[in-house]
Amino acid sequence: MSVTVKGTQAGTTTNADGQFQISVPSTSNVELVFSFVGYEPKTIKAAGQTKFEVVLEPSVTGLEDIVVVGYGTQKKEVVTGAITTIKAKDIGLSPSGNMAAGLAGRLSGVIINTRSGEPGSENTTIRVRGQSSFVGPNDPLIVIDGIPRDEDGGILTRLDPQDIESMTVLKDASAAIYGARAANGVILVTTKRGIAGKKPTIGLSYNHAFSQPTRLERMADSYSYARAQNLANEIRGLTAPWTDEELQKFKDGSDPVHYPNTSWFKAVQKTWTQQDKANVQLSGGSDKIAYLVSGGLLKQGTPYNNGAMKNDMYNIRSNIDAKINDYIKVTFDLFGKKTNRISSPLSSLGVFSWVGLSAPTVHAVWPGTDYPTNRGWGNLSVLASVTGEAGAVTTTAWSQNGQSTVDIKIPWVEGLSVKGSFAYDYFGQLTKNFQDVYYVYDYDEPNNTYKKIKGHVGAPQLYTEEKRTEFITGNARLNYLRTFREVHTVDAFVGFEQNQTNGTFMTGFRSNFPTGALQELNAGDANTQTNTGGSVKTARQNYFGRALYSYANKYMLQFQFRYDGSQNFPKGNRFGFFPGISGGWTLSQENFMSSVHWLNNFKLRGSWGKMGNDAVAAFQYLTMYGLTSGAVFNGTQYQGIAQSTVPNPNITWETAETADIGIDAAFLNNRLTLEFDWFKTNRSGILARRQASIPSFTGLTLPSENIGKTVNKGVELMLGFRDKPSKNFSYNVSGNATFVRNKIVYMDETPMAEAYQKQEGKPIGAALRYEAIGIYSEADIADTKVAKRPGTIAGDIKILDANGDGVINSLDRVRQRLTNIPEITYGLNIYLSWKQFDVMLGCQGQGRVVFYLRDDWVNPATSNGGGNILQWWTDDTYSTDNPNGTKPRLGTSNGIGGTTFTQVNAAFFKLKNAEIGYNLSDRAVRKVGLERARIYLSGTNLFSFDKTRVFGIDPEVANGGWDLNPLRLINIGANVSF
Amino acid sequence: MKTIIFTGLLSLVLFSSCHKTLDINPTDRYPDPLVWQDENLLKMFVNQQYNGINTIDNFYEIMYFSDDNFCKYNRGGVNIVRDNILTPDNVSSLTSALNVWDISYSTIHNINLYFQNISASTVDESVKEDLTAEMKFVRAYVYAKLIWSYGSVPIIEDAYEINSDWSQVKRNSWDECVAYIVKDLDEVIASLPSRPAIRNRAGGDAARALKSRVLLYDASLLNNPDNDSDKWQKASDAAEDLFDKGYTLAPDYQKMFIDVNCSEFIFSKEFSETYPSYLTFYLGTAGDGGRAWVTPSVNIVDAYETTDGEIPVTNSELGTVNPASIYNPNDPYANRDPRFYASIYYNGSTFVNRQIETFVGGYDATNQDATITGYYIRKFIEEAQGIVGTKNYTAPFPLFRLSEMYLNYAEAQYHLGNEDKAREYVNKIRSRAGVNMPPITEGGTELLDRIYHERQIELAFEGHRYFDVRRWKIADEIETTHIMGHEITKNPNGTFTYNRIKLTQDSRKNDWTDAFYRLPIPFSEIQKSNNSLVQNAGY
Repeated sequence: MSVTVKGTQAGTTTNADGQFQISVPSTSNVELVFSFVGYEPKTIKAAGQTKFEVVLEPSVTGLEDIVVVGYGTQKKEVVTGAITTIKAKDIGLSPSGNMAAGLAGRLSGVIINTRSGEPGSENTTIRVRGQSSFVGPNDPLIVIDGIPRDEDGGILTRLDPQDIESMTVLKDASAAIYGARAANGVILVTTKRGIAGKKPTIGLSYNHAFSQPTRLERMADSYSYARAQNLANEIRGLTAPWTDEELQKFKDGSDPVHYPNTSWFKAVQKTWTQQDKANVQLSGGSDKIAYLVSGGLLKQGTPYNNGAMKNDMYNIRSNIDAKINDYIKVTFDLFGKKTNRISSPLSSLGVFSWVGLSAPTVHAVWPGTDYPTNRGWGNLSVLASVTGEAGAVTTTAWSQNGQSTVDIKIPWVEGLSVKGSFAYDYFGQLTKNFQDVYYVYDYDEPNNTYKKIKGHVGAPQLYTEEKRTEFITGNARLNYLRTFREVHTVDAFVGFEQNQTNGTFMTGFRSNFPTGALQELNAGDANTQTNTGGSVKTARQNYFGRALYSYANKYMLQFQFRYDGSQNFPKGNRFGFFPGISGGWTLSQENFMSSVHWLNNFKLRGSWGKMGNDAVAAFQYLTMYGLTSGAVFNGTQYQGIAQSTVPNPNITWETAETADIGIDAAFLNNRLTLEFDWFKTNRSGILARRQASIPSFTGLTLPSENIGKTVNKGVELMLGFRDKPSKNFSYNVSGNATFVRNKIVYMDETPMAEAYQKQEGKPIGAALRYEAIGIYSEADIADTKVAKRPGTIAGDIKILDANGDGVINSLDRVRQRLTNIPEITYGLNIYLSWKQFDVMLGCQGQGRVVFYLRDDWVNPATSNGGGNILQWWTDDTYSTDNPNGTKPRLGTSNGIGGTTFTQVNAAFFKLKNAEIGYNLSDRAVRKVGLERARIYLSGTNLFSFDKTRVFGIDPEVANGGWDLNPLRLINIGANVSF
Repeated sequence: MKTIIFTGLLSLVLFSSCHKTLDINPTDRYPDPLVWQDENLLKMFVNQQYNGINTIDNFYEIMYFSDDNFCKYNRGGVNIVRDNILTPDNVSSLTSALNVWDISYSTIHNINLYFQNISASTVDESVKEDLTAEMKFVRAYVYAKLIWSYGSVPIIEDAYEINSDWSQVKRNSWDECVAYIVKDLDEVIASLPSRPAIRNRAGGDAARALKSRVLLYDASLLNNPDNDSDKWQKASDAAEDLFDKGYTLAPDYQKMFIDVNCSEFIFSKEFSETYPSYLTFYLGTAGDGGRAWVTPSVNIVDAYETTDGEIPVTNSELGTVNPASIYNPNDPYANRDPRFYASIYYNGSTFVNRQIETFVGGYDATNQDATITGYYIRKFIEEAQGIVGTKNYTAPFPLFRLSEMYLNYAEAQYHLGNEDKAREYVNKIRSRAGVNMPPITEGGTELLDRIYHERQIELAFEGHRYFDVRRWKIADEIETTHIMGHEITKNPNGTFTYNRIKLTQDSRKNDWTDAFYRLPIPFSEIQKSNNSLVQNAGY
């Protein structure tokens, strides 16, 4: 804490015990100002006192806040870019095992969706202000403690929220400092550090959660399914597979042994699963050394019945700051993470496929036993595949981040310093996929015996893969920060950075293990062994800099640039220049505004910048031949090579030009805050393949070319209101909403396409679909004027003849307007605090978004065949008895997947997070020697308003609903510090 | 001060190799010039192109597309063809085993790259000569598959780059395509030994066999409406050219299909432990864990003769029994052509050491993969290995074998008016060891029907039938007959009742058009060519 004498420059800081010494004028009315970053300064009369009890209230305005920006920090009041930040307190609020998933709805302008509920593989997508690129990843760059990091072990999603001090999202040209990787936005994560002079503190937190999928897919029951099969056959003139008596038995359940009604999802999925999270932290510091050591664990249980699956993660962090002398500061940070994951040899997607395809007319296990039935599919048992009986995939991953920084003040020039960082990250992963022999059973009813049949695994076999990647980053910066004549502040630096990654992998395989007892390669049959391996290298080099000039915190002007080189491109196109410029004007600091008392802050800001996206496959400029499997001659495999892609010698960056105009304002004694941004990004040179126009007869495997153009426009609004009406009660309500719409300006289009099929003018990823306009009736079939596809019969989906030419063909497909990236996203976050209680509610919503039900949900005539369908579809299906049915007949040869019939509105409003906590009173806590103690009950994904309940599918889930629904968690937890 | 010096020195050490950092060479690919200068790499390039003929994934898929089986899972998009609802749009969803357009032209591009670079290559001339002949064989095979599927196609010899001009590409004529293929094959025959040193690489005999089929198809009614007998003569000569090359009909019609050294195989797709075939698993009986993706139809079961040489059932939809035959509808599997037992598992037949049960409720009829025709394919099944999804099967898939050459020859001889020769070669097959079916004696169109019928039986499930019924122009009848299955009920007294069920929908019967004799060129290709490619008539 710093202490100054009011009205003078004299000041000091307190030591670890809170002691300080300061010389004060010998007047009686001297006042001391106690201040600390993030808190309201407090002024106390000093006269004659030697002991002060100072309680600082958290700062309301936040203007004094220091904000992390690219390669440094800035005071919030001089920030000119569009930046969203979130602090430690808010990051730790969600009990979710996936840190990023817990942030949904909290970050204005950031769209976060959780696409799966599989622990350890939640498939979180993060989009900063929507998307602008066609093919390339639209993922933002992740920078942790100043180093860009992109290991594939879930670098952001798997961070321990307890370790994070703050996160900043750079949404506009302020990201330009990251040049060629910044076009999709940048997320800066800063981890917690020790505080010099603070006494050692130990913090403990423990959470135990019960989790379950938010929904169970609503598959057809056995009666509906059997009836649908009959209808499908009847309408095609084929024999019905079930008799009326059999249907009746399914319906009334009178013979559950022979005519069961099996819910495969219930058979496979667990109702409740456990999750544990714990963290222990030690932090503090002397005047020379500050330290923070943190250890965390996360244990997630299986989502499946009797499952052997788990996801365990352990992490340890040690952040050390050392002050060598008045000029030199050194940091040394180490982070280690280990993940042990056991998953089904079928991924969650695989489990889903098999569960979804399982007919409800068949038992999962024989009644009265735990013997899995033999349903076919090569005797594959989905039950054995989740219990571990059929083997499991064990993934062990290690991450190590090591980082050191030296910060040297140059003594001869005031304000000049040199800062260098070096980071070495290592990521290793060992995957062992052991498949074991298991059995399924057939029931011989007359003899009441079960016949044991080998499952789909013929002999125990092991596939291993070992991957190692090292990431080496070094940078050096020359900084200059000085305020002249108290009002002119210059904050500038130039820097150099270089990244290299080196990765290798190796795989091995053996079969015919004598038993599953020893699951190591050398226990397998050497005659069956195969192996492969390879490596990959990347490199980047950049020069960058920034200069911020501010006059009395009133006028700000900032320029930044990056000159960025990437090995993905040919020599002449390797380096790109990415500038950014921004300015701000704090009107509320002007004299003419001083009389407007209800307005506490009003800042106008604007920015423009150019950024790049280089996330494409490397070496597309070269004529290269990649290894292929070749062919077999004379009983032996002969390896092959084939041209990888035809070269594109001109390949280079995608460029994004971004403009942003924003307002920051605070009213009513800083209780009401407002942030508003308008933004526009023109993305050009988008890397895409000319698949739509280059005929296949050219035989070309197309490279990416810089051909596409998009524009992405939108507005963001953030409103917050906070107050403390009484000593015991305070609240804070904040809402954010973003509207963002992208439009393709130019893209490779199919020649001779109809105008309504063009991608131009439509959003990225908009599907080309036949418009479903009802169901063909018998009369429609008889009427030759009604356009239809060959083979159409009554009960098929009626399709709009978009070009009115009397036939339905691919020219009638219409480019749709919405995609699975929402145009509208919003969040509402409420905090209430009353005496020792506090309540938090976090809501997330999205609108103008669709997804398409995966074909397998609705069309059992898929290549794997014969599976179940959604109950929704079997209700009101067209049949000769129900000619006005709204759902098409089953078993159509034309398929319904290509139509808008399967388009689903994926809008939702969810109570994403909620927490109610109780802080033990200071007196009670101190009695047992603690500093703070808190217990709380929290939950995530608690409730959702949406349109997909009828399917039993969460609107966020991936693959057209064909994956484990995201998890709901009910959590109890406690934090203690002493 | 020390620290400053240290930092400066450290930076120097760490960033010393700056200017070279971005010059990285790929670690998973070979650069262009090297491929053409290094003999091993050049050979690897050639090895890969064999996948243009067929791949590990699609080599068997052509068997879905005929009336001799029913594929209940719509694999490879078979419903489109089976239900006669083929369009230039939905042709794209067919397997690359039939809709060969993309895979073929991708191979042709690579072969064009080969010919563009080979003359400047410093690799030993004799090596280059052999590899060039192999490339010509693959090229001929790829073009043959193209014209069999679509009719005439564009012949492309330029190795295009991304900015090349292909706007003038047009379909060549049928005759140009056939001449182009035959020229390549003649050059292969002239330069490669009959049997290559490495089994099932291209050789003279493989080229001869392909030439025989190309010329036979060329002489057939679909492609030879004027019945030019010159074409039949060429087809006959090409087939005959293989009779003295040392191939003999194999003695065991069941085991021969799992024997890579089978005495009548001329050219086959081979597999190994590391590049396995899963065919036994894909076709295998559901009771043993097989997927039963393709199961024999009642139509083909009806076609296997009884041992008296009569066709037992003349109309599969109705089950009309041929009164001349010794066929007993209540004991339908007795006294049949031995090739029936070798090719098909039926209710009551033996699989390794148990009986196949395809009756309702039977062991092979209950789970979701179970056949709905009442039958399973036995041809190609590696019984000794058992049926296991994780097993690496290695049995070859025959692409050309001697009995096809006999049938090609017989068909050509018939059209040349030499009925004796035609009967002689059909009867050679009928009298093969272990089959011993009575000789055929018919003449005239009855003889032609016998030749067609023999081809259906002998080459069942080997991927010929789809093309045969089209080139003979009998598809308008065959492909409008419902595909039938047997619902077999076990009676309390242990006997079985065989009830015919229709497996295909009515559009099969009603919606055939003669356009279906050829596949349409995918509409997207017509669009991308800006109408420079002309669509097949009727689409």
